[in-house]
Parts: sequence; C-alpha cells; structure tokens
Amino acid sequence: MLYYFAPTVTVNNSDPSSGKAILQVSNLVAGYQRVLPIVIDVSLEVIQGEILTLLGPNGAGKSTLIKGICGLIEVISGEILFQGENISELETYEIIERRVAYVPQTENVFAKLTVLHNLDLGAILNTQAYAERLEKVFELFPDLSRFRDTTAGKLSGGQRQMLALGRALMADPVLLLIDEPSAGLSPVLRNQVFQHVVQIRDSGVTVVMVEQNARAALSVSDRGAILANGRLRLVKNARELLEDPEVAEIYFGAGSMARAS
Amino acid sequence: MIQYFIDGLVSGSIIALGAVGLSIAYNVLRFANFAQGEILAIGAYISMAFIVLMGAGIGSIGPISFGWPLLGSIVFSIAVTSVIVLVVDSVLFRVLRERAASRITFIIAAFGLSLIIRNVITLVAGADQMFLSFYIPRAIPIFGDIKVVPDDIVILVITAICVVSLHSFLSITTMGKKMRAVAENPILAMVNGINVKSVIRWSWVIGASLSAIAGTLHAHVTQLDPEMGFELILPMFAALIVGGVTNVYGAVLGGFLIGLTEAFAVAADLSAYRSAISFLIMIVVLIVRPQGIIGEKERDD
Repeated sequence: MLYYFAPTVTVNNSDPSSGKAILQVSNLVAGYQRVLPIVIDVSLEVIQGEILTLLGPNGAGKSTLIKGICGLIEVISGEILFQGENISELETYEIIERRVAYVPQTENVFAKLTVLHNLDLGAILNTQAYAERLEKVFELFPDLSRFRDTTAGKLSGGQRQMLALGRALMADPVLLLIDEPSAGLSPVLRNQVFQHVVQIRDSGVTVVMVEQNARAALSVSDRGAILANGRLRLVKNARELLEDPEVAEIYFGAGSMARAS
Repeated sequence: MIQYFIDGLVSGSIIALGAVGLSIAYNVLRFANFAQGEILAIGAYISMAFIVLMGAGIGSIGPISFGWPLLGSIVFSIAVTSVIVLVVDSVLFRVLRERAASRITFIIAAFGLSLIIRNVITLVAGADQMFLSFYIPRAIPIFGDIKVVPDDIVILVITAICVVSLHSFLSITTMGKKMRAVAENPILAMVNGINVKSVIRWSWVIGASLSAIAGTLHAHVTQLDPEMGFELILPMFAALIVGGVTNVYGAVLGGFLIGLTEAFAVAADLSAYRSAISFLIMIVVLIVRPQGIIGEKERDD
C-alpha cells in the first residue's frame, strides 16, 4: 500500500515555525487505584497542530494516559498543563469545557439516539455557530448527513467511528484525544478513518491518538510515542520510528507489520 | 363500575408518580432505590407538618375538599423533601459512588436507609395513623348517571400536569437532555462535557418532587403512617417492571395498570388479594416480555 508521510512540522492554521506545546505532561502517575498506578512517571509534550500517536503493547498504559489527560482517571501525581493551565485536578466536564475532546474506544456513541441527536449532544456545552459546525461535520463525513435520522446503534462499525469523531468535533475542540479509532475495522475502513484524522489535523485540531496498528497509524502521524509497562520509552518523528528496524522488531513485530500492509 | 375505574386511576397516579422516581434512580443513579417508598412517606409527613403548623386545615375550593393550604403544603413538601434527599445523597450514596461500590451495596444501603427513615418518622410523629383531613369522598353527578368525586378529578389533573411537565423537561430542556445522556452512557456523557454530579443532583430533586406530590396525595386520599412507604414500594416496583425499567414513561404506564388492577380486584371482591394480583401481572410480564411493556432490552454491565 501507499504510505502517506505527513510532514513533521505542520503548516495548517498554527504558526509553522513555532512548534509550540499545547499540552505538557510532566511526571504523570495515574491509575484506577493509588497503590497500582498504570501510567508511571510519564513526561510528554504535544505540539500544536500535530498528530501524536501513542503506541505500545497491550497494557502499556496508552489508553490510561489519555483518560488521565481528560480527567476520567485519577491523577495520582504529576502535572498536566493544557495551554499553560494545570488541568490535572479538574473534573472531566471542566477539561472538556476548555475544548479538549475525547473519543472512547468502545461505546463511543449514544446507541439509542439518532445520529443528529448524538451530534447535538456533542455541542451541548457550546451551541454557538451550531449550524456551521454541523455543516462542517457533514462535509467531512457525508454518511452522517445521509443517516442523520438513523439510530446510532444501527450504523456499521465504520460509520459509528465517524459519528464518534463527528460528535467530538461538534464541541469545536482544540485538542482531540482518540482511543484506538481503528479497533475492529477492516484495513480499508481503518485507512479511511486515518485519512479523516489527517483532515481533522489539517483543519487545525491537535490530535493525540492511541493505536495498535502501529505501522498504519505512524504513516499518518507526525510523531509517535512508545510506552511499555506504563513508562514512556521513546518519542520520535513518525518516519524515523517507521524506519527504525530495532523499534519495528520490538514493538511492531512481524505480525502487526503483516496486518498493517 | 366507573367509580372503581376512577379509584384505579387515582391510586395508579400515586404509584405512577412514585415509580417515576424509582425509574430515574434506576436509570441515572443505576440502582434499585428501596428507600423510594420512604421518600413518599417523607413527602407526606412534611405536608402534614405544614398543615399542622399553619393550623388552618386543608381548605376547600368549590366542591373540592382541599384548597390552597394543601397545595401550599405540596410546594413546601417538594422543597423540604428535595433538600432532605440531597443531604442523604451527599452523606450516603455519593460516598458509595466515589468508592465505586457495587450495585448490591447500593441496594442494601437503600434498604438500610428505608429502615432508618421509617424509624425516624415513628420517633418524630409517632406510630399511630394520622390524617391530613377528615375527608369523606362525596360523588357529584357530572352527566346522567355518572358520578365522580371532584377530588379524584383534581388528582388526575395534577398527575397529568406532572407527567406533561416531566416529558417537557426531559425532551426540551438542556438538563433533561443531559439526564437522558447520563442515563444511556455516563462516561460518554462526561466526555461530552456534561457535569454528571449536577445531573445526579437534579435527578434526586425531580424524583423527590414527584414523590412529595404523590406522598401528599396518598395521605389525602388515605392516611399517614410510618409503614406507608413499605406498603407503596411493592406496587411501585411492580409498576416499574410491568411498564419497563429503561423507560420513564413505562413507570407511568405501569403505575396506572397496577392501580387499575388493584381497583378491579377490589371490585371483584378480591381486595385481600389485590397485591397478589399485581404481582401475578408482574410475573406474567416478566415471563412474556421481560423488558416490560415499553421497555427496551438491557445490556448487562
């Protein structure tokens, strides 16, 4: 397949030369129980306008890290600065109010409600320019416009993932956290979802994405971060990670390479 | 016969309003609130306290045997019952939520709470029956041979207003939409920026308000005693299950069905078995349509 190599420094709506950090995580320890932290001493910067992909084996703490960022999991110690403000003590709704959006891996749509109702709920905090935003989401995901009155539970896996992304975009986020958008999707749909993520990035939204499909995800990312056993092991330019044979050997494995191509 | 029908609708109204509280607790707070009957009892006793303190009886308007004092007591009871319920939530259920207690823990806690409330009521108001008024229903003809008790009609109108208000609240207001979102998927609601804690507080207030209304109306048509909550909880659960636990309107439908069944059991001279007949219906519904008449199938979680 053809790999799309995103430029390392993005040009979009952000200042191309700045490379300004929008999110700074320092010495973060987080988990469901204080005695059993899942994320251990992670320090990481997310640069405005990039797609940063979090990789690593199962149980590495990738999902826990983004849940910690949006307040779904207790921050045991450490600091999370979003646009310079410490958000580590805030409740989820307060973090979302600051224009962070999060797309869970599973149960990421309100299955009993219609597509339009789901999108409405995405904009529940911020109804300004609602029509305009809805138009933008429908432009990005024409299927959602077609199925606007369909119950979300009846959508296919791919359409559901689009709805989950569209729902998150309705809040007009600055930072979008996505937990395994390609989980359970066929390679064709997965690439479609990744292309949408690129389009979202190009519209000026910074994206942090957790992925298992390392190779396919890195091919659309600006940078990749590798976690293992809750600790951050490596943060690098996505292209370098893709070409690094040692990284490929350890983290992607022959199996996932085969799946990705 | 028409009188039995109206009796059924009246007791159905009270069960329905109480069962809505049960349904909201089940869907938003995610547990079966065994203390719901006692919340109705609190509502009734607060109204009683208001009537006693005002010392003017319950008044009357035209042919209706109650007037502004009783309506005033309902408003007072809504406010006080809501505050009591919010305090109980913050000292009991909030703590359990923060510790991620299991559903069983919540149910046992609610059961314990119901015993505490029952005993506090006995301690404060005594174990004897009390009456809001010495109300003797007097039917007046409306057309031809059909006679109705004016109070019953007012109670049905009050119930209708409550159900319509609840529907408008849930479908039109932002808080109502947030509440439905939390009921369906609390995590997703949270990541949509919904303050789940405030939704939970509102859920308690709505449940308590409807309970205060239902409790006061129940006290008006029957009497007050510390066991009233225990007597009401079983038909309310039956209503919830018959109508469908996942749908708040199911509680309303179930409430009326149970009320009518009990009234017709009385009409058929089976008044000793009226609870048994409600439960028979509940068992039949559980076998034939376990999700309830208008409920949806639930996922396990």
